[in-house]
Order: sequence, then structure tokens, then C-alpha cells
Amino acid sequence: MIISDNDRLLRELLLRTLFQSITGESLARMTELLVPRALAEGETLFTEGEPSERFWFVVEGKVRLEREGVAPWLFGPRSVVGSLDAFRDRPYTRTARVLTEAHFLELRRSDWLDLLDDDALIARQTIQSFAGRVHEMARRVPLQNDGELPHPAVATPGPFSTYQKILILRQAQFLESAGMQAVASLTALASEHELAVGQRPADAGLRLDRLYVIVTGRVEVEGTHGRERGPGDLLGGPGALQDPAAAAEARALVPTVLLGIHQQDYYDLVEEHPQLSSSALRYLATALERLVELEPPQA
Amino acid sequence: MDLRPGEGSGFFRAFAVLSLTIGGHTLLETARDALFLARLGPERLTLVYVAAAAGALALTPVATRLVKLTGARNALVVTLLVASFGAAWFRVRPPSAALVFALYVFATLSATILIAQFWQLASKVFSASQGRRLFGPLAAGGVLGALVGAAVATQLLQVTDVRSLLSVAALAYFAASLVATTIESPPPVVASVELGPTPAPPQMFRERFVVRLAAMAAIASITSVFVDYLFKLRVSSQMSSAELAPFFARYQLVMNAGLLLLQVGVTGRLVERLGVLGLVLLPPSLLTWTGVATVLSRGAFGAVVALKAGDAALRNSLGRVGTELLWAPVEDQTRFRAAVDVVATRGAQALGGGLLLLVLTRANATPTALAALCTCLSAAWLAIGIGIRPRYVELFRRALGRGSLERNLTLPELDLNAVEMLVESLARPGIEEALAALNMLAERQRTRLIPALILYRQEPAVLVRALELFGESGRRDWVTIGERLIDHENPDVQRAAVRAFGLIGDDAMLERASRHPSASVRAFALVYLAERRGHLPDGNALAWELFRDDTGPAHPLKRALIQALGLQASPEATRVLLELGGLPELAGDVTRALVRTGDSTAIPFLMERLAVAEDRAAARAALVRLGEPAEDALTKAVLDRSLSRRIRIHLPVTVAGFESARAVRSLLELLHDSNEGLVRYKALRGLERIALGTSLPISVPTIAAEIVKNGSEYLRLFSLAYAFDTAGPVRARTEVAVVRELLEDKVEQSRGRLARLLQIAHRSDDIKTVFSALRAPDRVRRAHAVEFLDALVRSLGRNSLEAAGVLRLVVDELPPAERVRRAAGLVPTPRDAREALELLSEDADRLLSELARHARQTLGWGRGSTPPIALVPSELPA
Repeated sequence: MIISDNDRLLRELLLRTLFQSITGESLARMTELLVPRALAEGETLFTEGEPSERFWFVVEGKVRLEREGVAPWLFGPRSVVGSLDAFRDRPYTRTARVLTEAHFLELRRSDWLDLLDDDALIARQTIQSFAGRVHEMARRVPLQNDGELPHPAVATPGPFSTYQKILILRQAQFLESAGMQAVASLTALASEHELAVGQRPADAGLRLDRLYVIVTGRVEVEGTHGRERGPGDLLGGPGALQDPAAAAEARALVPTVLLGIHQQDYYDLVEEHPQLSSSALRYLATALERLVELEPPQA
Repeated sequence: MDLRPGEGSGFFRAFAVLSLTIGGHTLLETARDALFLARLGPERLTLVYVAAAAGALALTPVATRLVKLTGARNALVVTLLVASFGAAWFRVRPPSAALVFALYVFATLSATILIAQFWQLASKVFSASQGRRLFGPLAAGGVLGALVGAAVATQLLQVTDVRSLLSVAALAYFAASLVATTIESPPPVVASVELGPTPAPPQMFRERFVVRLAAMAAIASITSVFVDYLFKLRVSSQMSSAELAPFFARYQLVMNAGLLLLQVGVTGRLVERLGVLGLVLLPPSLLTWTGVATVLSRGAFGAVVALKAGDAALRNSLGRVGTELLWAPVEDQTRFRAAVDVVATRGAQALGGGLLLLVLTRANATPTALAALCTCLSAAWLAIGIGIRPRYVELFRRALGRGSLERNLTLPELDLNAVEMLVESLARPGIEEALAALNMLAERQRTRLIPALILYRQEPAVLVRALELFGESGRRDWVTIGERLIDHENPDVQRAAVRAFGLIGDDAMLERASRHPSASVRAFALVYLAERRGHLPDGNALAWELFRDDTGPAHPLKRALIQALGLQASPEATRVLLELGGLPELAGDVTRALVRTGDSTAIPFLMERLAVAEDRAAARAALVRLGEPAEDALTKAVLDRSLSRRIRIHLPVTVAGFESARAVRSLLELLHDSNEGLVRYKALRGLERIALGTSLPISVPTIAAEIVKNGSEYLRLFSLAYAFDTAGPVRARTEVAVVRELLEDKVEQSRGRLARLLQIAHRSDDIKTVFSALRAPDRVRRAHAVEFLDALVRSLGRNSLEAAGVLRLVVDELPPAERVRRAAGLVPTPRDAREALELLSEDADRLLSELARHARQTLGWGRGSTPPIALVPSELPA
């Protein structure tokens, strides 16, 4: 498809508005992939149950995402709709209805994943900005604990063998769909750490440039309404993917064992194993969805 | 024969139909030739060629319409019934000269239409990939039918007269029609009212591939007319009338026996080895050589028979299979084939007949001269065929729904409308939109179009960015409005204002700022004044008096100096920047400053910054700016194992940034020699970047060799993973599941690397999309993707054969067990999970071998097994 320069400029302006740091080839590719779409008031953008092959950037207008029996979500300009389902690779769970005449830029999920695959910088920026949003919301919205925390994958004390480290990282939620190769590669770079009862990472001399996965034990993260995290969670929650320093706010409630991965190593591997980024986005989409159910977006 | 589940019924029915049809035709042809030569002599052959071609011109559109109206299968059934009736009719009529002439035309026409309709049906029933496997054996059915027909003719002629062959031919056609009714065929595509016309020649000629096919078909037809005439001339001069029918029957018998051997023993392997295009070129090549031999033998009877047998045999076996496969990617095949049949094949037959008549009437056409003409025609046929590859590939590209990879990765330039739109955005309330518009103008070097009035906006982020751009642009029209910003309430805006005045060299404003009530503004001004006057203190920059109060992690004064030095290069700039870069919190700023300034002494610092994601792009740009010395250092560093892994893994893509022949060589060496998987992968990415972004040549033999290596690795891993699929309950054990999942991921990874290698070899194609099409739900699309990749790889020159073989095994649609069976000749294929774990425990991949050893120990399959590691719960789900 030939896109006029004016169209491309409009798309570029919108993309730069949404993603401040997008530049160069990634920006040019995105402008090629986006498809403009206009809908009149009352029209449906997508319907609950349809495969979530696309998501949309709202350029103008308002959209309501509705499902029977739950509060609607309202979105206005510069928001993204349909992405939670697309990132979780499941059919749309709501129907999107246009409230006032709206213009969208449509992006296919597969194109987006290709872009993340080809451009590790975009992948990193996407994960980090998404994680930042989840972190910011988690501090605001009082989310209850999930009940019983999961059993640890490995209960014996360290040092862990490679096999045990794989089992531990396989349990990590942000690596859930990352694939064994990515998990195995991270294993080679993971190191073991411990927190005594009441200790924070700084008390145990842990460096805050790492992502810490909880192996055994339980921690509470300050500022998140008493939310506890256990085996398979990131110390500091999803926000650690944006800034590992988020782990600084965690305090061990029981003796806690951790596996640490340098943030740099994690993002370096994203380039080789694109499933790492799709898995992280899926994890963040799950976390965000739970939060927005409690505090629905109101455009 | 590679017949897969679900294909048997369709294949054998089609096989039977073709056998019976060709068997019937062989009987008809034997009777036709014997009766014609005995009654009319070879001199009338030219007329009958023209008449047959004219008949075909008239009937082909009718036959095509029949296919469209009733579907390929029903059309074939109808034509077979008509042929059966026709043969029986000729049997009961007395053999007058006119009837013998009409019989010749009828036999030629019926064969032409029936064979074309049969292959049309076959190409609907089987996909391109199935066709590659099955068309060879299917064509063998035709040869078998011809052989049986010839044998029946030989036997019958010993007890009865030649016309009785017509009765048996009628029966064979009838039997074929009955079997054909049982073939499941797709329904006709369009209703009668929607039938499109046969494409007019101009429309057809726009399809360059079809034009080539038409040209090849035309020359092949003319060649055939000349060869047939030469053959029959020599036969009639050598034999009496009574000997003709037995000779033709024996000739058919021997020729078809040889053809059957060729078809069964050679065609399938030739298709795999030569590919479709090689196969298509084989008949004209062999005919050319046989033609040369015939000329040299001065038209000896044996040589002429060999030439005729070669033409008949090759065109109906290898040539037919090749042509059918060539048509696979053509959209609206039925219409175009009809056009080619009408315009090219039949027209050329008529033309051939006319030319032959002309040659015979104007010159003394000796057998040697005719053989020479046949040779020239075959050579022309070959020449046209050689140029068909790019068009064939282009057609698959189109069939896959993606044109060549048209990358427009440049950002559009700004025209007046666009500028207007961006300037409007600067005035909109949203901060993000204003910043986006500022950046878009700046990136296109249109900073001068940013109105100075933007400095009246309130948002600090917008003011800071605008001041950055004004300072770097050297513009002065903003100064009056900007002066007041030195007194802005936000310290970031104040500093940005001082910086902007410093960068445009407004010493008066800097002096004024140096007396500002704010200590921060004063300090900033002093830094810029010192830098501008070249009065930077001696000694290590971190210990300068100027920075005495610049404490805390922000280091605003040091950052201000770094920015200034980055924009206004001075001899001392690199030294000072590197000293300041010694502070970890300033290293990123220094890296960004070095993008514009600095000398080769910065190379080690910049290489270290490659390890930091946020600084990587700037470090790469800075190294590329430094040119040869940086490229030298990097190409040495990629081989230095003592360098930190975090740096080493980013060197290949950085080397690619130099976009030079040397960078290509260095990356190819890494790809070939490095024993670190991640480094090899990065070298591959670097080469891909060069391939897609430049026109620098990349060694094709090396890439072809890598395709073989990666393809073999895929097959090795696939075979190992498959061993666990059939492992029973052991498969679910966590220890085994971990190994299996790791293998499956590695299989995918090696497939991805193959796609990248192909992308390097074929820069203009969207290989990623083609690989996606290999997993499309649509069978035809999958088959097109396989054929497309096969054709691409075969164009890699001398090294392509092995690469094509391996790639075919990777991408072809095969049941896993069959893929493993075929891979056995190339890679070790374990019999079961136990043997797989044994092999893996010695694998070069340390992680894989460790996990395999662990699994063997836990399962008690290894020597000196140790008790399993305690896990809670002891058996985790796989």
C-alpha cells in the first residue's frame, strides 16, 4: 500500500506523541504498519469473543469497552484499546463501541510482535513504560492479595543446580510464556541471594540493578496497600521491570530466597529471545487488567 | 514414491484415468500413423498438421468453457466419452482417404484436449508441493498406459487388421471416463453468467511469465512438428505399407518401455535434484544434443528414431511434469492456460505446418537439413527457458500476497502543508504533541521554522526542548523573548536558557547570568563563559574548583559543560569528557556528547558503553563517526574472549554500523568461526542489517554453506526432539520435559536463523512473511511458500544444490517421522528418548548436555546414576 507523505506525517506525530522515545527505523516501520480507520458514533470497533488480532491507537473521539455485568471502560484520544487482550493472546473480552465520531490507527498484533522481535530497544521501552504504568496504578489502587501464595518450585536451600534454577525461573510469572530456551539462557546469568525476616534489599547488600525472582518466602511491598508477593513474583512487583529499584520497597516477612538477574542481561536477551518481551507484556497486561477492573478508565 | 496419508485414493484414481487415456491414445495413434502413411504418404503430413492446429484453435476455447462450466473433472469425463464415441465411429466407417485424414486430425485433437484437461484436473486435486512429489509418478501412469497400449497393439496386429485397434481405443476411453467420475474434484469456480473471457493477447502479454511459457510452448510445438515429419519421412522411406503398423506398434512399445524406466527411476529424483526450472530445461537440452548427433550422422534412421523418441518421451514425462509445476503459481490458471493453448501451442502447430510446407516447397529438405532445423529450434526453446527463473519467483511472490520488500524506512520530507500542520501542533495544549512536533521539525533540520513565540508557553518540558533546539541552531530571533526565561521559576528552564545563550555565544547574556541571584544560574554561566573563552582549568576535570559546589548525583554544572563540549569541539574536549565520564552517573551524557565530538582516544570508553542499553545507540553512532580507527579496534575486539560478555555480544551489530566491505568480512568470519551461539546470532543480525540497508556484496557461497549448516542443525535438533514425542510416560517427567522443551525452542531458533540467512541472500524479498506462510492454514499458500523458497535457494549458484536439499527437508510439509527418516542420512537420528538423552549428554551445548545428564541420572539411564534432586513437589507438571 502506498501511503501519502501527509498520512505518514500524521501517523508519525501520533506515534511520537504516544511514544516519546521512538525514532529512526522503528518509527518509520510503525508509520508503514498503522492503518487509519474512522468510525461514526454508535459503531462497533470490535466485539467480545472475536480473535484479538489487532489493537488501536485512538487519535480522536471516545470509545467505550463494555461487557455485561461489569463497569464500562472509557477511552479518549492518545489511548490504546484492545491491547490487553491482544497481549494476552485471547479473544476480546469486551465490545468496543464508539461514543463520539472517532479516528483510530490500527495495528495488527503480529506486526507489533514482529517489530518487538526486530527492535530490542522498542521492546525494552514498551515493557518499561507499560511496567511503569502498572507500578503507578498499583500504588494507587488497593488490590487484595490472591489468597494462598504458590508453592515454591524448589524448596531445598541453595546453591541451586542449573536444573533447579530452570524450575525456579519457569515459575516466574513474567517468564511464563517466554519459552525454555530463554529461561535456560537466563539461568546461566542468575545468582542466588537471601533476605532475613524484616530485611529490605539494601539491608542485605543487594544491588538494585537486578530483577529478583522470589524462590521461597514472602515479602510485602510498601505503598501497595499491604500486598504480599511470594514464589514466582518479582521482588517489587511489575514495576521492577521498569526500574529494578522498585524492589527497594520490599521487606521480607519470612526468610526469603531470591534469584537475581542483572536487568541489562535480561534486556540483552530480549533481543535474542523475542518471546521474553511478549511474555513480559502478557504478564503486565494481566496485572494491569486486575487493576483497571478496580479503577475503570474514564477517558 | 512419497505418498502420504489421505493422498492414496485420489492418486490411484488419477493414475488409472491417465493410464487408460494414454493407452487408448497409443492404440489410436498407431492406427492413425499406419493408415495415414499407407494411404496418403508423408507429403500430406504438412496439411494435416495445419488442419489439426486449426481444429485445436477452434475447439480449445470450447473445451476451456466446458471446464469452467462443469468443473475440471466433469469436463474430462465428457471429453473422454466423446473421444470414445469418435474412435468407435471411425472403426465402423470405411477407410477412405478423407476419413484417414479426418482420423489423423481427430486423434491429434482428442489427445491434445484430453491430456490438457487431465493435467488441469490434477493441478486442482493436488497442490504445488504435492505435485512436486506426485506428478512424476502420476506421469508414469501415462507411460504405463502407453506401454500397455503398444503391447496390446503389437499382439492384436498379429491376429487382426489395424482398424481393430480403434475399437480397443474406444473401450479404453470409455473405461477412463468411468474411473474419472470417482475423482473428487473442486467444484467450478464461477457460475456461467460470471464467466470471464479468455484473456486477450494484450492482457496475456502483460504477464511476462505467461509470455515466456507461451513462447516455450510455441517453439516446443514447432520443434515437434519438424521432428515428427522427419521421423515419418524416414519411416515411410524405409518401410513398406504392410510393415508400417507393426513398426509403429513396436516403436511405441520400446519407446514407452524406456520412458517408463525413465519416469519411475529418474523423474522423481530429478525433480528433487534439479528443481522445477532445471526439469523444464532438460528436454530442450537433450533434444539439442540429440539433434546435433542426428546432423552429424547425416540423418541416419537410428538417430532420427532416437530424436523422435526423445521428443515424445521427454515432452510427455519430464517436460510435462515440469510444465505442470511451472503453472502452479499462476493465478487464474484455467484462463491463461487456455490462452496459451489457443494462441501459442495450436497457433504454433499451424505455423509449424505452414513453415514445413514452405521449406518443402522452396528447398531441397534433406533429412540432415531438417535435423539441423530441429536442433536450432530446440536451442531456441532452451534459450527462452533459461530466462524464466526470475519471473517464476516473482509469481510465487505475488501468489503469497506480498510483493517484494518495498521498504520505505525514510521519514517523509515536509512540504508546506506538513509544516503548517506541525506548527499548528506546537500551539496545541498537549505537551506530548508539542514535543513530538518539535522533534519532528528538528530531525528534518527545520528548526528555523519553530516560532520563537513558543517560548511563551508555560510547560517547562516544552520550554527546555525549544531552548535546546534554539541554542543548537544558532538562531538569534528568540533572544528577546528568551531573556526573561533566565528568571523563570523552574530551575530546569533557567539552566536551559543559560545553555542556549552559551551555545549561540551571547557573552553579554552569560555575563548577566553570572550575576544572577540564583547560585545555580551563576555557576552555569561561569561554566559556559570558561568554556567559550577556552579558560578551562588544568588537571582532572572532576577536581576543578569550578565544580566545587556541584555535588549530588545530578551534577548539573558538569552536565552543562559536557553538553557544551559536545556541541563546540575543542582540542581538550575529548580529554575533559573522558575524565568526566569517569563518574558513572555522567557516563551516559559523555557518550551522547561524543556522538558529535571527540577523537580516537574515546574508543575504549565508547566500547564499554555498548554494554549499557540506554547508551548503546549513542556509543555506536560515536564509534561509526570515528571511522577506520574505531572499525580496527572493533574488528580486533570481536575476537577477544577476555572482553566482558556484555560488551562482546554487542560488537557484531556495532561493526555492521560501519557498512563497509571489511565489516561484512569480519561478520562472516564471526558467523563461521565463533563458538558462542549468541555472538554468531548477533553477527547474523549485523549481516542482515547490512543486507537490508546497503548494496554491499555478501559472499553467497558462505551464506549457502551457513544455510546447509543451520538446516542440518535444525534437522538434528528436530530428530532429537522427536525421539521424546514417542517416549510414552517418560515424556511427562519434568526432567525430560525440560530437555524436550529446550530442544523444541532450539528447533524454532534454528528455523528463525535460516529465515535470516535467506533474507541476507535475497534482500528484496520479505522472507519473514514467506516463513509465516509455511504455517498458514491454507494448503495452497503453504505449498506456494515451499516452492518459492526452493526457487530462491536454487538461485544461489553452484552451492545451491545442497542448500536446497537441506532447506527442502526443513520446510516441506512432512509428517515428523518422515522428516526424521529422511534426515537420517544427514544427521544422527536417535531411535528413542534414551538414545536421545545419551547423545545430548555429550552435546557441545553445555546447558543441554548438563540437563540431559541430569535427566539420565534421575531416570536411572546413565552410568553411575545418582539419586534425584529433592524437589517439592517431587513431580512438577510438565
